[in-house]
Amino acid sequence: MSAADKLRMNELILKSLEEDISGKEFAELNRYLEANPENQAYYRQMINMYVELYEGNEVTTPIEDVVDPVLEEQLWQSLAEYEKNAPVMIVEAKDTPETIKIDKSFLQRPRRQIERKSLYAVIVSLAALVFLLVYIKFVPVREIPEPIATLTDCIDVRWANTAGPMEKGTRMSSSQGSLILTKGVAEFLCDDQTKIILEAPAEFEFLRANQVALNYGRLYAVSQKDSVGFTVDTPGSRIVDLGTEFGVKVDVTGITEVHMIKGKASLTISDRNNVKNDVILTENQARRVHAKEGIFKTLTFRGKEFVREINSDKSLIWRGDPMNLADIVGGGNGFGTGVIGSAIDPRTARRFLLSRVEEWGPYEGPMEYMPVTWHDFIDGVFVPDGQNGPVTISTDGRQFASCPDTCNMFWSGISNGGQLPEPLDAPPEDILFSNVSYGSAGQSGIFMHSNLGITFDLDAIRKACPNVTITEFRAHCGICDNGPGRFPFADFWVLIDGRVCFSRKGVGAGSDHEIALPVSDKDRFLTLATTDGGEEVCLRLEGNIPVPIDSDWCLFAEPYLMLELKQ
Amino acid sequence: MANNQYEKLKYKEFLRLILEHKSRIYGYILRLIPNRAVADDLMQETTLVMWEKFHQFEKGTNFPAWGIQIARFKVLQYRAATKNSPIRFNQDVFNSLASPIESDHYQENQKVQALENCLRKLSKRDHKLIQLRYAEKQKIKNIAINLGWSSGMTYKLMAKIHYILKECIEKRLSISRAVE
Repeated sequence: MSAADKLRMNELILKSLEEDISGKEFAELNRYLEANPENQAYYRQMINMYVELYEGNEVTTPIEDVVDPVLEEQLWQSLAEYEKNAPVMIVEAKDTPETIKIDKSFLQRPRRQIERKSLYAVIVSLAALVFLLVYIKFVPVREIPEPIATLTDCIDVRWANTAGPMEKGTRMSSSQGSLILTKGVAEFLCDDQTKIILEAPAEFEFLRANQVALNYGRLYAVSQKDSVGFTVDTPGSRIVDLGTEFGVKVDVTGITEVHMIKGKASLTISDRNNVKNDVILTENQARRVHAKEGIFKTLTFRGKEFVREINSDKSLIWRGDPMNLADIVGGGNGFGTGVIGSAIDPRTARRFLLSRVEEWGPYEGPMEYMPVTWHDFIDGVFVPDGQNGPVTISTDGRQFASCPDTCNMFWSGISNGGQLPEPLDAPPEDILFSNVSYGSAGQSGIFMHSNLGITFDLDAIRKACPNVTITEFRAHCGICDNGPGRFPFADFWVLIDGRVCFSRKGVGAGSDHEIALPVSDKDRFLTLATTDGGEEVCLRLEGNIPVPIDSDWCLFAEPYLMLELKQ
Repeated sequence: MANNQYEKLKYKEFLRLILEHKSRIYGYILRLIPNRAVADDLMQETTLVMWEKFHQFEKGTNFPAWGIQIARFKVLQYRAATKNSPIRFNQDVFNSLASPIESDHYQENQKVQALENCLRKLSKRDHKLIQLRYAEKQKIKNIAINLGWSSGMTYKLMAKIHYILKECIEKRLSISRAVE
């Protein structure tokens, strides 16, 4: 039997003895005992040692006071002394205080129900002393579990050891012991109003309304403004929040990392000699704890390793990253779940894959705003053309008043990057812009050939992430490097609620334009649009019709909404 | 008066025997039902029956074996009443554990002595934990809360301390056997 098995058996035995074992754990103990007689012998010996420790006097004095073992004779003397006084204690019969009154004849009596009861009463009275002596140690102290936190959300979770269902709204108490999250992400609101998010694999335990122990895994904590004192204990260290946000990572060997995202926290460790060492961490600082040595080591801050917001309804997991609008175009949640090369047809607002296109445009625009119904974060799409007056750019009727006249033609859909075969029988190529490939999620971009527009619903995003504020839209834009290269010439537009906040007209190849627009909580829609630039020199179709969209491989590169947690 | 005298003597005798052998009977119950609260109740019931039937006990015969017989009956009753509980040994394991083995008992003086010595060898922290658990009768979960530790960690630590004690006892016993 290995030392690890013995340790595990000991843990299971102790848990069982303390009524703190799950059915699964007891089954594990049963399996150990089934395995071989050696394990059974070990189990018997451990139980006997437990009994000896529990009943014996070996541990009643502090270690420095332990000089000689307690002699059995001493025990007997004290018991005899106790017993000598025993009759006085049980004289409740009020007649003969010096003696124990008992009806001896019960021993010979036939057993009848009523007599048996009264007999028991007498026996119990008589034996009270014995029980007092023998069993006073056995009286269990029952704990009343106090709920101290609530499970507020979870995504794709699997729990290893919970007794009951773990659903939204489940109250957690300190009596539940360690919880093991083997899969997914779970969010809890502690009763001190600190939100914590745990990411699998993790083992943790609620200790108090403002204290959690993390045995391993990743934990993110954000406290209410002006609230301090939320504490995370890890093997060998303690982190006490002094305001706002931090992440703690503990690996299975107990090595702890603390990343201070905002505000301050106190990190304390105790080495093997119980000498304490502490440090105050401030924003963007990180430390690795070496508990055995009692030291901290400075780390590169990696706050984005921690999930800070989840929304199971939207399958949304936020690690502090900005929201990627290209990913949303690809059907994702803005954090990398979208499909690269997935596009939206401005005529139907439906999705399609660039790789399945059988024929490129030009196509004629629908002359109307097309609402998108399959993604909450996208309000709709359109082909901008100001020939007939202002262009509708949202479902609530906001307009792009200064939209230039265009040819109302477009070449393909609005896509989440991807590869373009041009011509269609050529091998597909990545989209290149400023010598960077934008075909992947790593370098994402919204590819929108000229005369396309898309409106994002910022309120829908806020609704999905209620604790997050959108602070800014950032991107850069221009014509891709690897387009046909004939006559690229296009306009780029960014509008917020119909207000033109950014525009670059007549953009040709080889230029890159930064976009950084503040977004307020009142802003509802963000619109990105490209127009054809109205150039005269361009490809002509049959019949000598000019096509000003020719070669306009427009890209909004790295289009991000910058997010911050609300304070 | 004679009756009273008889009862007092009988009571003293019962007290002496139960105090001497209670650990063994209790240990037997606990190994079959490793739940201290339940084992306490069963021990109490066992003792009641033992007192009730003490007149049947023949002086000079094996008191703990007699007590274990009664305890076994109580344990079987409890198992029958909780047959659907997941916290229950299967029948094979139960049968195997239910057979008394004389040699594994810690009340043997040598083992008790070894345990005492091994307790002295513990580090201050480990000894303190053992004290909190066994002298102050605190549950491990409460110890964890009071020390601000997680109960998972505290259980693991307690398991380790018990392992250390067990290994230490075995070592001491093997040395003393070799000396003898």
